[in-house]
Amino acid sequence: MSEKNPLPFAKTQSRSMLLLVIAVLIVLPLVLPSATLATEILIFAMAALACNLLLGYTGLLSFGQGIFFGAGSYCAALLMIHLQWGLFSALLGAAIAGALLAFLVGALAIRRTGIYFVMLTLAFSQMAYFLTYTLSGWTGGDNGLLDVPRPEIRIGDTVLLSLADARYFYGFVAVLFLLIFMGARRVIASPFGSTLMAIRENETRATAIGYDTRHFKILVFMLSGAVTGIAGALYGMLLHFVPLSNIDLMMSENILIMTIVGGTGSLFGSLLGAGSIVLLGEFLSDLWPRWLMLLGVILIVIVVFMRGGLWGGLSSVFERIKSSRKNSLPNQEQQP
Amino acid sequence: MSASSPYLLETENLKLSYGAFNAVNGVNLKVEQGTIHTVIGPNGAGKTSLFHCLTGERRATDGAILFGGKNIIKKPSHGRVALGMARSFQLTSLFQNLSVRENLRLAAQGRDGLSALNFWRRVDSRREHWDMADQVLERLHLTSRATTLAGELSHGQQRVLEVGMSICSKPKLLMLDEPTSGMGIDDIPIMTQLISDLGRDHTVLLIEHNMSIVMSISQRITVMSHGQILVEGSPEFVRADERVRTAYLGEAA
Repeated sequence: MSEKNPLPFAKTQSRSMLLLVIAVLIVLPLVLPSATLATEILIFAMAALACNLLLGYTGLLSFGQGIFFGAGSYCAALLMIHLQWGLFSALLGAAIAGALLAFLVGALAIRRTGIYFVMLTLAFSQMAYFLTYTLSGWTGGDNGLLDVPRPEIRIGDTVLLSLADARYFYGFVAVLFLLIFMGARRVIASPFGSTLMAIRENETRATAIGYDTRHFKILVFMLSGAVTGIAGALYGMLLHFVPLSNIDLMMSENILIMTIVGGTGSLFGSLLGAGSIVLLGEFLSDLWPRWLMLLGVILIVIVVFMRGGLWGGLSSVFERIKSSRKNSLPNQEQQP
Repeated sequence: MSASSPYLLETENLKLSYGAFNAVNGVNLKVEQGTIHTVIGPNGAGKTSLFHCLTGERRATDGAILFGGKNIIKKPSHGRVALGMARSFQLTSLFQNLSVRENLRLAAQGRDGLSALNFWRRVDSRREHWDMADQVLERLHLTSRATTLAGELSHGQQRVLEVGMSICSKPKLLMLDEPTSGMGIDDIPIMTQLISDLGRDHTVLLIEHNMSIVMSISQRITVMSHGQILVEGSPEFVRADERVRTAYLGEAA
């Protein structure tokens, strides 16, 4: 039967998970109608993964993810437009912007817990939206920020690879996603990551055994903000455009929905969640203009009937198949 | 640090007030190095309030708490761990969905405080935390349950783990809040055994309801009533004291 693995990172399990992700990254653009769609999935998977660090691993429900996503978009776009920054420096700028804003939001919001924490992130999210809307000289306000470049990969003055082709840009985003995925797994397997899970499980006890939990929450907020900022920057490059909706509360909601639908028990769940929500949006919107209602129904079904989201559902189905196969082989030696 | 003092923990005129009500009303407690010191008293005597002041869960309104000669009254509870204080909870408070071994490892890691912020090293790189977890597992006789989730242990074993987690940080002072609370009659001897075992290499401050445990393992007993110390002395002395009887009988009547 399925024994829960108490040690989060058994070596073999970890390797097969990595292979699974690489396989998905390779297959995705082959089976989807366009590389752009595949890229969009990966960008939102990054944002969902960052959200998962907060929600799944630390137990923090943040409505502030849209702030970091939007800030990354605008920051990278403005740096590229006005200062002609290159690809990597713009992404780095977006990561720093995301991390700094996450520090501000985190440092204030974590002074409260539970529902008050959630309300504070919500309030920050609204503030960020209206601030962006008001600063239309920089952000383009309602019209969004137009003509966002997608710089080539270059070292010094030598252009190594142009990313103008959607397939090349997908490749770039896929490599970045893989690095971030591996990085996030490393973070989870660190003393820091194990403490996050302790905070999620029982913050009172975590404090009693010596952890100043505020520092841990702020740091995970900053890591999450940095990754979300990068995702936002890539989204601007993908669209050549930063819509105001990037920093809308709706963006925070979308990222949260993807994270929850995918499942908070595993980082791979975030890829599943982002993939299914982006694809559902894509295909349902062709079927019916009121597709958001269908999405609502699907969301309810997943939350009510699949504990642990899509990842939880899939892995329990997989376990069941495995155990039924074991039971159907009568001559197999079985340990009691 | 005044090395000459035989007392590991002292409170001076400690007070905790909620408005006009003094839950702790001028307590001078002295816990001697290397003893098992128990605080008893009827319900509402202020034992738990005193305990909360000592752990840092509540900030005392007035007075001083000297630990190893230093006043720690302003230290937050996580900061007291690094100084060598550790506590257990009256209501079991574990990391339910983590393994027993991981519960203990986290407790060992907690003493190093903010060095656990390192997010780029592997957990396994800190061998000493695993070693401590394994030592404590053995001491608690839970080695065979190492990989079980804490929430799946029997109630008695959860209470044992609850107390065991507090020794992972190699504390000088163990503060145990009613360790037998909610335990079945069959499990209580195991806990008694464990506490007296821990008393061999720790100073223990115990809050306890169960009289038979208190009398059999304590070297010193403080009886509280109405937020103040009523009587203090050896178990024999306390047992014989008339005021203690009335305090408890008064509660029963």
